[in-house]
Amino acid sequence: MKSTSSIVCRMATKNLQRRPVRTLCMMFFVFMLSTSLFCSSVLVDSMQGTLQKTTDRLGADIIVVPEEYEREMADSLFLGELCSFTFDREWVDVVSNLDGIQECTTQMYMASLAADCCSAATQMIIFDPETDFIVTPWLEQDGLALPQKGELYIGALINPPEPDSIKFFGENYHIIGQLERTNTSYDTCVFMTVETAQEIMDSEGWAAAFGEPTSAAADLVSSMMIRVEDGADAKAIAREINYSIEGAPISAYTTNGIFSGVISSVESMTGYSSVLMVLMLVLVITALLSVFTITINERTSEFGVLASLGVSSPKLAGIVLTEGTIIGFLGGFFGICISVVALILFSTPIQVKLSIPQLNTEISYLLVLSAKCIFLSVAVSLLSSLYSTWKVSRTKLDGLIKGEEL
Amino acid sequence: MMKQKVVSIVSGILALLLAVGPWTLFQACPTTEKVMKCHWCCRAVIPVAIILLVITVLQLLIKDTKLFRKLSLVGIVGFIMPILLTTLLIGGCMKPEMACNVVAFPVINTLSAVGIVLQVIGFLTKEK
Repeated sequence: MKSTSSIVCRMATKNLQRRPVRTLCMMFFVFMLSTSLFCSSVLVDSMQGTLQKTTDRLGADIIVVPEEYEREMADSLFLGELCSFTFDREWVDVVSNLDGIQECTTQMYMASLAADCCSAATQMIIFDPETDFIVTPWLEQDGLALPQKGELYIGALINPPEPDSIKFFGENYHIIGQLERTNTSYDTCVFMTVETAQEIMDSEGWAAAFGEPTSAAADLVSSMMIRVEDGADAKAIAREINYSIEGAPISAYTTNGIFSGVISSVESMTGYSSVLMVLMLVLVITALLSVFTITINERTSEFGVLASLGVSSPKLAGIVLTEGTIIGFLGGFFGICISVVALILFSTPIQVKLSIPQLNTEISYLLVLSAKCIFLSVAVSLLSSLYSTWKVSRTKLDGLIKGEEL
Repeated sequence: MMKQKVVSIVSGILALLLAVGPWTLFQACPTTEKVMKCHWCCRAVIPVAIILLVITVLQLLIKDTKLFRKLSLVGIVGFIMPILLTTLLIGGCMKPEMACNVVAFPVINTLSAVGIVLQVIGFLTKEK
């Protein structure tokens, strides 16, 4: 003999199958809720995750850049956009002598062209191996040697036409390795030392594109990364750099300060997403509640027949609740499936249009998020069916048989 | 029968768009002396689209539901191919903001996804 719960389950499934249009409409509401929750969560979490990774990878407390270039610097660090700005190295010595600075290193940025002279338009990062605390630990961790003259490392997302060489300004340079993927803007950069940078600047292709270089690569700096001593106030040191060094064409920002634009974008995105979710939740609950109430009222005679055949009130309530659970689960499940496919297929245009560097598509993260979305979908659907359940279980047999409004 | 006709006609239009669209309506990156990867990807989509077009014409002509369902199964696999070509097998340009990544490939993927859904509907058609 079949158990009561399996009979209730089968009855609920058959009820849903008998009215496919109504079932699909109700599933659609839950589907919309699950899709919007899943997609907005992935977008917001990806934005926050990349910001955190970029800040962690940077490992500096203060960034010094030429005046009015902080926006370009932030876009380059966060979105991997090409940038090429410099200031004179003489200011590095002035800044590094200030109190409270534990260590500092410099980087220079050069952008190649998206033309036949170059394999691709790529950001070149020139670091100083003697003082560097950003790229070198990364190389050491992977057991990679420092690049020599004419050698370079490429980021994980760079695919040169030939595996061991890349062309910049008409000259080929030797690739000694490809770095591991970091899901930050560093994945689309090329790393080299100042000797290689000087070689590029001395090439004929560079002269044809930008003219003869006016300064040596070793005399130019694009950014200065500073680590402050333990207990020192990074904000105070940044203020000191900005206001105490007279005539300096540089501005200092704390890591959070330079990303303030990105942080405010993340915050507003989180805010919009929360408002959208609350609105969706209210709309879906109202819609499901209405549909459940209307259909249960239409089905009073059906429940009356079941009750007169001996089906108890809790079992009648169980049928309605099971219908709600099935609708919630299937709607939520399909919503997640469609969202995952859409996010994978359209990740590139989403990233470009919403200025999100990387979408988080890690399996473990997606599984946890899917479980949360399905749980919410089922909870919303169950919540919406509670009123109808209560009405069905409370109404007397004669009222049900007469088809009275519940 | 009506459902089968709609499935085959719309799928045929999608297949035609997959073949012609990347060169006319939703163009990939312009071809200069240096030919980009996306150019070859869009070329690879053409034979797949032609096969899909033949399948949809056959679907329109035949009256046997069993055969229609079998062709739908091939159609599903066929419509998966452009997605694989643009994402895994060939791909496009490195820079995400290039025309292939922002316009051509998303449209190809959308058309293919709609095609898959239509062919699944065709496959689920009940025999009478």
